[in-house]
Amino acid sequence: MDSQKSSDNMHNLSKIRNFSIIAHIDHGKSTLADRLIQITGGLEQREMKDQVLDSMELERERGITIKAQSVSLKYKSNKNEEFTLNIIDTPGHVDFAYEVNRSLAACEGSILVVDASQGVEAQTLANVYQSIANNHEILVVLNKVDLPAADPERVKAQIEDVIGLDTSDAIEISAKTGFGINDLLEKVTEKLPPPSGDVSQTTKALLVDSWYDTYLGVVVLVRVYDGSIKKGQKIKLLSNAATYQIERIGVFQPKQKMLDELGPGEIGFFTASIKQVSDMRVGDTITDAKAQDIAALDGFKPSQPVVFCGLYPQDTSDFEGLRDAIEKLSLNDASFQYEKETSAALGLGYRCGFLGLLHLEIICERIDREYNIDLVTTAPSVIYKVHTTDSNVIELHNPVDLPPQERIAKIEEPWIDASIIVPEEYLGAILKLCEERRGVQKELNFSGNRAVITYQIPLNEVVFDFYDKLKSISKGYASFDYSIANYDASDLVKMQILVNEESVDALAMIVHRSVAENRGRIIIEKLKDLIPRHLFKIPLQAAIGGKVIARETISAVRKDVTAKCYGGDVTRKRKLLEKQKKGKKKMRKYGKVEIPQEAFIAALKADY
Amino acid sequence: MMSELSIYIHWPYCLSKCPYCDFNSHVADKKIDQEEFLELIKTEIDYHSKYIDNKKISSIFFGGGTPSLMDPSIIERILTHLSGLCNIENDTEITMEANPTSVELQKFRDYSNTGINRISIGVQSLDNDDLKNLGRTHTAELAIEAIGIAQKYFESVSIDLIYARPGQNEKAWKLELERALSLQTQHLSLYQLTIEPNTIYEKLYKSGKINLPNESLSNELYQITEEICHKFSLKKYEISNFSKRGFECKHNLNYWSCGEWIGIGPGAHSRVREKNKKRRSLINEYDPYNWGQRIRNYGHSMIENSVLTDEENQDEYIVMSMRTRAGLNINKFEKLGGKLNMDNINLLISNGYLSRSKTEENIKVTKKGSLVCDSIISSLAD
Repeated sequence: MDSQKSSDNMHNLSKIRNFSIIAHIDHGKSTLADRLIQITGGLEQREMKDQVLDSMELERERGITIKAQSVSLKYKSNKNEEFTLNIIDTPGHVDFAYEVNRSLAACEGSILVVDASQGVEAQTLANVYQSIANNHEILVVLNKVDLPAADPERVKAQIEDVIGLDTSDAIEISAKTGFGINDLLEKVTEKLPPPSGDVSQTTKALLVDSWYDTYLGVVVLVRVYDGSIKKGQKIKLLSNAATYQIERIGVFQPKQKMLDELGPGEIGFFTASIKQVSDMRVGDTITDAKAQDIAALDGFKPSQPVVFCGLYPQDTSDFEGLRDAIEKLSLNDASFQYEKETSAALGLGYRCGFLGLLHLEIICERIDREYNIDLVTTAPSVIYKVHTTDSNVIELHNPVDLPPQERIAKIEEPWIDASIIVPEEYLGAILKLCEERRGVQKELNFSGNRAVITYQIPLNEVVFDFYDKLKSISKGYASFDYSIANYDASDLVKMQILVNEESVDALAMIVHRSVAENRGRIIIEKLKDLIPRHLFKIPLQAAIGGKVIARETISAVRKDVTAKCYGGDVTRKRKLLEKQKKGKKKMRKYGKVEIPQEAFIAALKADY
Repeated sequence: MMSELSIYIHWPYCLSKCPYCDFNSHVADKKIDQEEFLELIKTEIDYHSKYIDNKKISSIFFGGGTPSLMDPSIIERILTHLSGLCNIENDTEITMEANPTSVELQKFRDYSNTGINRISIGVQSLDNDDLKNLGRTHTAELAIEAIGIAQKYFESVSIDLIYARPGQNEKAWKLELERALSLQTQHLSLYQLTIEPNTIYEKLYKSGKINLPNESLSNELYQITEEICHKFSLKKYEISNFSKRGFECKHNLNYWSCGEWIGIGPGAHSRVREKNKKRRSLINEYDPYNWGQRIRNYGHSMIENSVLTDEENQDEYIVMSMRTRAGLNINKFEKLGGKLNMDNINLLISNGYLSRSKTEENIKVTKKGSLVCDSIISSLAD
């Protein structure tokens, strides 16, 4: 790592361009970033690997960006002027909407990438609206124009129609082949505005993101507005007045390049012996430790989990491993919350809070993949506001904690504004799905042969399998995005599942009264298939309060006996028994009944 | 007390392979060199002499395959070889399996002269059509003739029958079983047909070409089997084994009580113990050719030789003992270091699956329990 006094364009704001690339999954955001890095010489050919900025294996595999990353590139324009281009790669998914918003806040412009064969998707919309809200200059880019299916004119019309952006200057590129990239770079320098800022002012910077790096410790990504951040400087965070001394400062090109300071308009990183990522809250304002009366930057809010579920190890002896995994993951993910919880059915585990379902899925997958722990996840739940008869309001994260019915005055649930874009042919089925999920239609428009729908839907109807359903109904063509709207009172009840007369806590859920019976029946039917027959019959019931709304019975084993067992069979029989014992360890004993983990998982994934 | 040992000798060849059979049996493509086989068997016996030395041999069993394809002189020389190492006595049960073909039954007398005192005949069915379906080369008439001859030469005659066959109903099985019982053999092994992996029957079953009786019919068949045998004064002493009093198969009882035995021949398993040492599991090479090669190279064919842990011994004891009339002896189980979950046992007793002997020392399956014996075993081994 070489170090130098300062960056080449130090404090020459007019030669800096800060921008984000916004796009729907698979529309080529990461490929475009790769191409920009390659063409500007940020990495040599032999150092390139696909999707340089998506450093997690999971990010590359899923084609999504989970953490914001930045890269600082040098570009010599056709007029022979050297520019510094800072690109912030943002998480594209709705779960990380707040993080996206803060990344956008650190830039003056955006490149909107739309696949010239696919067109605009719901996610594109949400992100573009955020860019507009951040007063961004937006460059419209049509990618994949080399594909036979590309139809730039149609897609341009759609962008004008759906988003309302002028596409007369739209740039046609192919990030894959490199076509149009130079043109794009020129346009970036011409059309996107430079940052403003005053180096003589007190330090004021935005905390864009932070993560844990094995070598550097906690790394903080910042955008400086005024003043500068210098090596050795004592800084403080406005949200909690915590102070730190800056140790290292640098930029990613994309390789780390160490500097002595970052000036106004610049984007880079620092380290400062910070213990935990959770101390570095996205959106916070960073200033000099001695600064007085500095106004915080707009828009800071602590991240709020909206979806909760219990995570338990399938094998109870893996609890220590799970604790380790959760602690390590949370080091690098301030928005992931957890607290220890005990379930009668599942043993020791954690109640965890997530920004959304994708966030939940990613955490679970990382625990499975990086820590090799098989997980049981309980039914995802949202935060209900329970108004009690003594005028208290309880924020309920776990259905098990619902007070008895007679103490409840009303229950409010969160609703979302959902936007869905879908080809017309699937519209009927999608509307039906939304209605089934207690959705209230707000808008329905058409753009070409595609429908743009806005619905209000209770979040608890979405957290199960709404997205999977949406995708399967539309053969993958529907796109979906949402934002949390408001809380509203509903006729919600706690449904319990009883196996052999005992309530299974992990299967308790809060549902709308109108759908309770149907869901209860489906869950019970699943359980009937998945709980093996025992030596006695097992009644299965779904109940609200004391009232049984659905029931089934698993009959007892009637015949299970091996005909032949002699000296040569004993080893095999013993090994079979050992395997069964191992299997039983993965089961949860509920009263006298052994319930396999798959039963919990499948019951919760029931097809409603 | 001198510890007792059983010896099993495996002959891995048959003249044809039956479609239901998953045993280690092979149809040889050339004439078997029986002298060579004898030498291999002797070498393997010698290798295990430390487990055999000076023990009382309670039983010897020639199994297969079709061991009655072995020349009587080979059997004789194996027994002579063994008697040089250990004590074969008058009450040592020496069994041979045989098929009721015309060639084999002519040799019954010679076999009895070698010292074999018990014969187990693979009758399988007394219905000629079903015999054909089962791939058997004999007829019911020949089987009955073989039983008659065997009864002249052997102290104990056992027959194997397979029931719950495709299309078999209660009435047909009742008649067939009564006919078999009228032949007055001391012992019967009555097996419900089981579809085993990698057999022709498995293929037929999976492609829907054969159907087995459903659960309730097969339970019914199992129950009437016990009732009919009882009428003929044959007692069930294991899930599929019935005998007149005093004619239980000692050899198999030793397996079921987790005793010690040496398995000689391809794929044979042993459970052995040197004095003051832990019980071991030995497993021989399965493939007959490789088995021979291994013995030539190393003097033995073991591909596994491991000490059994306490838990493994306990599991084997549960697996085997719970199939027998005597059941599981609680003291013996505790001596193996095991601890039973009495709550579970009491629950199984109150549900009618288990009973506890008057002396309270043994637990065993009831009639109802024997139909779900595997589930009970799995529940006890928790």
